[in-house]
Amino acid sequence: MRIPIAFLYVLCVCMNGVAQLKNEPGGSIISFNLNKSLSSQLQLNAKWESRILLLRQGASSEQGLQYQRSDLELIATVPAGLRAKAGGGLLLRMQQGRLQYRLVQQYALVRTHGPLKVGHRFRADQQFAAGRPPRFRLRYRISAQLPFSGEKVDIKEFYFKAANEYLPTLRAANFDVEIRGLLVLGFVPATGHKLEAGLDARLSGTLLASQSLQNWLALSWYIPL
Amino acid sequence: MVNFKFVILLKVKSSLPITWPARLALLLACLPLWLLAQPKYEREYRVGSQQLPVEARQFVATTFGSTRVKWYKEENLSGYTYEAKLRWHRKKYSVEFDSTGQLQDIELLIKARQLPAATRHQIETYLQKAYDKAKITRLQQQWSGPAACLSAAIREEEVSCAYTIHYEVEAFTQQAGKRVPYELLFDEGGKLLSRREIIDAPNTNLVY
Repeated sequence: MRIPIAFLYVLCVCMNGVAQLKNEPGGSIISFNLNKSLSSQLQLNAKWESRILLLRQGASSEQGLQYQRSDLELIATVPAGLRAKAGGGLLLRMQQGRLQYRLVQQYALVRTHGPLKVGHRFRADQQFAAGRPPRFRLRYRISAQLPFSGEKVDIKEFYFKAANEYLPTLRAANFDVEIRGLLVLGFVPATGHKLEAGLDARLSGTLLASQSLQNWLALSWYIPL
Repeated sequence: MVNFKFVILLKVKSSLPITWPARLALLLACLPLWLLAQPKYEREYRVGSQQLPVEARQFVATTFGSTRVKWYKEENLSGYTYEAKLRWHRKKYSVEFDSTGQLQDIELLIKARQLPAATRHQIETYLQKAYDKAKITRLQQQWSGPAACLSAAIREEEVSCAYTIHYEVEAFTQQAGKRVPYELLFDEGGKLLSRREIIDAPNTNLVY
């Protein structure tokens, strides 16, 4: 089992850069993703995601780790053609005692090119919260997974995953495009399970005068049921 | 391992103003460590040419010359094999050997349009009859027979012995609403010889 030292080094350098941001504190996004086939047609995906902010001295009056919010997302999908899936669901966000709702629609497909697996995901979502105008987004994400060794990722092997997502967003009369980049190191500990750790960078305000960058340490566990 | 996890949590507790939900999330993030204890049944990984049987190295050098070769070792419960993947004359080859270096087969990646017309017709007719929908995702011409014979055939030299050509087809199929990827083996005339389901790891991490 070879651990890619170069990847970990790059990640540490990036996270050090994260810590130097003053106005946009990052932290860690921890997610658990459960997938269950309810029938040959219907699949259900449940995702629990929590954010923990890393506050540094100088960036805020507080410092240390601070719990920010949790999301519960439920998506049901059915086949759409031979190799694609379409679906929809609901996301519930709990933040500072307030509940927000998000409706989600998505179409996704995965293609294999030798050892490289490429996923395309098209999403639309509409978010509603009391006291705030609704937010509408269109999202496109391309992601790729490459095993460290061989043609496929076997059990107890590592892989790289990279993703790039574009999120045109409309809230009231304000339009913006958020861009996300993800670079993670993945590991398959058992059949169907995947553990991922890496950097999730999110740039917002790309159409505005000032942009803000948030960097997160993303930790994910994909669990088949 | 359990002690190690709690030491981490205790240290976090003593040094940082961390809330209970964050502590719980950190504890849950440590849980997958137990999965590391699970056994592994199948594995494919790169190996250096010095780790190979001499026969395998010699066959590839004789047949394909000095082209760059990636060697893989495939282990499973019944043993192991070696596979050489290479490009030669702009074609992608995969050469498989048993654990002693004896040639098992040579596979050449091709497009459906490169199939002989009659064979292609037979394969397409089978797919249309057997499934509601089917799409070929990968196609390989598979050569098997005596090593010297295959080497000559690949190099388009005069061949004085018999060898066999099969076609290995990977297809995504749908039947009665169920979608299954298959690996299908056809003979030179397009008659189905065998079929096995391809078990692929879920792509949840590329979709959600």
